[in-house]
Amino acid sequence: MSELDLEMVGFFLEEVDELLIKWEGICLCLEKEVTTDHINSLSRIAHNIKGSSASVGLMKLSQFVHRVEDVIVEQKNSTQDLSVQTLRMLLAAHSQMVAWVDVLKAEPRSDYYPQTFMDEYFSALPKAAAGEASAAEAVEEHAATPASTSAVLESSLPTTENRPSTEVEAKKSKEEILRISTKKIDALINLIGELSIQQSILQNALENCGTKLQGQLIYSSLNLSHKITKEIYDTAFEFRMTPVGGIFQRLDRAIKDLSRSLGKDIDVEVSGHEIEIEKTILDKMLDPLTHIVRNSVDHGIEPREKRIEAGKAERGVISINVAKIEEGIEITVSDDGKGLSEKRILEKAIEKKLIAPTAVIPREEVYALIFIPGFSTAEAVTNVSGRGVGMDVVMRTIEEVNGKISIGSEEGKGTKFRITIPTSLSIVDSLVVAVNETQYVLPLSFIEEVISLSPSCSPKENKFLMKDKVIPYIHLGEVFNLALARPEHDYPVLVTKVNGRRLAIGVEAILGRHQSVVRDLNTCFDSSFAVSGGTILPNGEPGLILDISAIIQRFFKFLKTSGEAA
Amino acid sequence: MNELENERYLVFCIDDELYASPLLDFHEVVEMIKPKPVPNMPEHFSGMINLRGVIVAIIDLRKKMGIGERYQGKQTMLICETETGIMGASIDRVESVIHIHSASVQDVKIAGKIALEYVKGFVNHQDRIITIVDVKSFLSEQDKQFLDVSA
Repeated sequence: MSELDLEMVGFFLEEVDELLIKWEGICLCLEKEVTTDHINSLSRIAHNIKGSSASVGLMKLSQFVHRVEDVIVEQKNSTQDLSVQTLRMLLAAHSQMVAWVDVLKAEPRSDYYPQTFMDEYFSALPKAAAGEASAAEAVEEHAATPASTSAVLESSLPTTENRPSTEVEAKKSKEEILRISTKKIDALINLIGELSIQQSILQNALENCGTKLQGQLIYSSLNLSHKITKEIYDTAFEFRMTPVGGIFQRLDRAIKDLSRSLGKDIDVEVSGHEIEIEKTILDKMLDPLTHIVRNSVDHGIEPREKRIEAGKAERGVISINVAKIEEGIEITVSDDGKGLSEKRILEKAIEKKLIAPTAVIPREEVYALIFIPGFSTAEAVTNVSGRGVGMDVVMRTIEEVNGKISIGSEEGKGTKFRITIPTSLSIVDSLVVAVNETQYVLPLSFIEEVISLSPSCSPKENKFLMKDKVIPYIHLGEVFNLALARPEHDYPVLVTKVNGRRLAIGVEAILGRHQSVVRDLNTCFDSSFAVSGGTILPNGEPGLILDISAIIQRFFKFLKTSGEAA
Repeated sequence: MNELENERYLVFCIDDELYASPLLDFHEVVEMIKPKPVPNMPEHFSGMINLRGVIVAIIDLRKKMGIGERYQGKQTMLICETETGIMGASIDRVESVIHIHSASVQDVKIAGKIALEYVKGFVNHQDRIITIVDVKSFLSEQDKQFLDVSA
């Protein structure tokens, strides 16, 4: 009965994501306050997932949800309060389903089944349940499971022959699907309508051309078309934008889960839900933000006794705020915990040989030490904040989206992480430079300043002095192994900075600032290491967006190896 | 050679040699636009062009096959979607589009300018030999090769 229709499964998996987010949201609300409304909507969602998963042939998932739904329905009819145990089961079931959906997205025919979860929560529950009838039903359901498993397996067997086609379909379903409000689409359609009106005005004016009046008409109509085109562009761009509120809930959950297991009471405050950012960036920010909030729960907020001792409120507070700023958006995550200890950070950094024992480091830079790979405080090794990522990975991920992170902290009062990220990765504010008659694009966010060097004081051995600081230097032509003529005039040098490391990059000329729209590049360009993407230059020609971070890394690696060789 | 049946093929030439690839492998055929150079790439890689907003990597098939001396006339580019993305191959000129019966393809192994795995056989067409080549895979192969070298 259940032939697995891959396309339908794909639709289902897209839809179920949203249902699961709602599920989680309701559970988090139930934690605060149990209302019949919440229980009812949870039961609706469970019913919905059960029904649609069965209709696309995912029988195992459907049966799984059925078991969970039974518990919800029982709760609905029961006069007793929702037990902590049940609520925990509902949250755990959510995690199971999220993992399950991930598995199915990769391989729709997967045999996945969360057996340990079932054993843990459902071997005991039916006995505890009051209604005998539902218990019997559950047992019956259980018996039905193995049979339908083989049904799913069988249905997948005959299709092995045309595997290639299914693989293609699997690839297709990986294409990202966005949800777009009809408001945005209507706005776009309106604008396109406007544009075609202007076009017919132009056509008309051209046919009757010759009079001065027509000339004016053409002029103003062209002007309007230009404006409309720009608006169409902006509107279409917004399609990729999604409100940041989407990840707040997941952070909330991460905080709640961890604080519960650590026995800490923490309130979460959020603001700025509605601010929009490109979905790909938002998705990328989830891991670093999760890491930061888990760190705050684990190391930041003190246990209750300590808080009382310090004269603080019993409950800790973690606030996540998002605000619009010029460069994009700013996300701040702050806690009212014990703050960072400069002394301990310095000790640790010296112990790990990251800095010299005699080094004098300004305060802001002390905090930045925790982003260096290899630095991790002792507690971070526990499985709590661990997760295999350190603050260095947090920083790297943020830099991948051209963002920045900084820390402010006061011992005893709390810590504040400030992250600034662009709202879009598709447009990069950049400088267009030229070397050897070819134009290159450099993201402005990594350029600290632009100076001019005269040929007479051209850098010796890859370095020069700027305001008494030694700055490593390379000419862009050297990066690309191009034959270069000696400069005859003053030439511009861009001082770039990534990850705290500076590198001055010399070019032949700066042609101007450009809002570069990032285009996909054929992956064969990957072998040209210094390129992060492509764009169409103002002159209509294709241009390369340079990966400054890779150039800097390569530069220092090269220095190291050539130094060792010498 | 079932997959070849009675398909339409695009016949193109480099010098006087005729080659053919399944017509449906190609998106379009465009006049040569001078590609913009891309640094740190293998020599047969002549650069990239802006094809209506899409950046297309261009490979010089002559260089790729190790045929020296530039073609004097105006070259043509075959645009196709490969494993790595949209790519263009510059060739001397397009000859025609013909039907080829799979039965008429002779599977002779002759080591030539193209690695054997990309040569699908030979056809006798009006007393000329046409080499049937899988241009699509041939194009994406080279960067893999290059990556291996750089790794």
